[in-house]
Amino acid sequence: MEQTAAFEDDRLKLALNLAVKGDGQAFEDLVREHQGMVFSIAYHFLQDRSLAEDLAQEVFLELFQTLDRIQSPAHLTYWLRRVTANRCIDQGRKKHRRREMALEEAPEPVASSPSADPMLLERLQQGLATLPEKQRLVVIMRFQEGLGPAEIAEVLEMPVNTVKSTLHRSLAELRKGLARKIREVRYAFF
Amino acid sequence: MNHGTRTLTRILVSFVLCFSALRGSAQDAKLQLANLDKLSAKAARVTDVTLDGSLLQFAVNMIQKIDSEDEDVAQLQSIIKNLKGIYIKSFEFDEASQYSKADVDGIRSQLTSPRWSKIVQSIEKRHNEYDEIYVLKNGDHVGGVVILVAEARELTVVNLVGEVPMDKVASLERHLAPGEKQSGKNKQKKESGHDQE
Amino acid sequence: MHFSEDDLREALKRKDPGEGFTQRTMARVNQARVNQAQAEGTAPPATKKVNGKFLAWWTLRPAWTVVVAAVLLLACGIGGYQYSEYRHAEEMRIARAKQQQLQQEAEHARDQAIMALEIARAKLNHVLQHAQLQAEPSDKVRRQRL
Repeated sequence: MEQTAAFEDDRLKLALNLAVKGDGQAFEDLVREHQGMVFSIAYHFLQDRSLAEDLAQEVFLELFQTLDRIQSPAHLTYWLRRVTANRCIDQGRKKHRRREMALEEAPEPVASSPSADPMLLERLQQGLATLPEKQRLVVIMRFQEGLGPAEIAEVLEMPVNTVKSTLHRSLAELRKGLARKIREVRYAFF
Repeated sequence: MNHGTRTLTRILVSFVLCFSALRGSAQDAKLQLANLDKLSAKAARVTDVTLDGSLLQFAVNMIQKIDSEDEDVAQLQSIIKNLKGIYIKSFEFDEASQYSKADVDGIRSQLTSPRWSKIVQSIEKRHNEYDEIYVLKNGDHVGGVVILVAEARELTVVNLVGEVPMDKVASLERHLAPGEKQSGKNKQKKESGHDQE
Repeated sequence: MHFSEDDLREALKRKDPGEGFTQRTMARVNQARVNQAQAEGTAPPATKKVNGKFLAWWTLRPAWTVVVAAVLLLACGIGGYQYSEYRHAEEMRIARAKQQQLQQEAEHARDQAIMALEIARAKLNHVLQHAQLQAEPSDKVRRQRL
């Protein structure tokens, strides 16, 4: 197990070294390796596929221009998360999106496992869109990327205690929002 | 190889000969295996291989440069030269039932397109063993292979992307150990990533 | 309404950006590379302001000008040659180190590929043998009946 993790790290280190030297194929490998992560952060934040793709492309463009500053594969992952988060916040401020989304505007359905409730997952995504930007990013970093509070604090440049309280507050808001939605649906039908 | 295995291998060879040109997107042949990563925590032994892009090209170039008259080396060279990706996730557990049907179904659901054909299936319900081999048709060629071994204490997915000569993979001799360029040395090989522990 | 952390993880599972994303991104990167090269190529040269009095002194003493220019040229020539020798040696050293590193990485990749194909072989034969074992009992029964 350690050997395969080390091998993976070596593979990325090699691709990074070659990309810095101008190897296009190596840079493409790096894009392919990380595009899921970058696109998903943008998509879950913006809830708009084409905006998320644009943003993700701009992140990789910026990476290409500053590749010589990247020191290691771990630094690359950290850099991508941080730049994506910052661009999401900038984009979010432009659009001033902090509103309830109508069901018709809901993002595409999640390809869920058989045990998950697709309606619940959709509502969670809608609820996420109503959170303020920093809260939204904290939730995305925690539950999409699996980062701990200290790692989130580093990426988003916030104190660790603020991250913890923000996460706690965000989950409470999501629960309240969901309960409100369920009541609305009940009133609509009964 | 016994008679029966040879017969089955001939069946596989005939599939390879029937579908003889490589076309189509390599992306379709590549499975998403990341959902299995969570099983690493429960597994006693994990093998995780991802070889594609520039790194696979390095490997292909190195292997092609091996100068040997050994038949095994020639077979290895002919197998690898048309591969676009090699992906393996293998988990061995100390106890049974450490993975769920949903984990396996997540793999099978990617093999439901008409271009994927299940060519071998072996089911032994008593021992909870479900083994399958799928090939991806690209016009007249094989564009990918998936070997799925779902047993009581093991879950393995082998995904080869590219033109795969199945007969040669099946008959590749065991004694071609990594780092060796000559044949004839019988060496024990481990199937895990613990070679250098 | 109750949801678990697993539900949130499921809702926030990473998504694939879809077919062609990599190609579209690389197209933008390559375009940026071209634009940058063009911008660097057409950059206007820096202009220098000439101090009138300073120039006057030199034009009145052409012999001195020639001597100083010759000395400067010689110094630049020698220095430049030494620097290019140093640069060349340095580039060779870096190239050799990179070559060695690439060689090691390639050997590692080769070993991994061989190991991976060995696993593929083992699993392929494992499945074939299991399938064969399943087929054999019915063959035996058929032969017995005959």
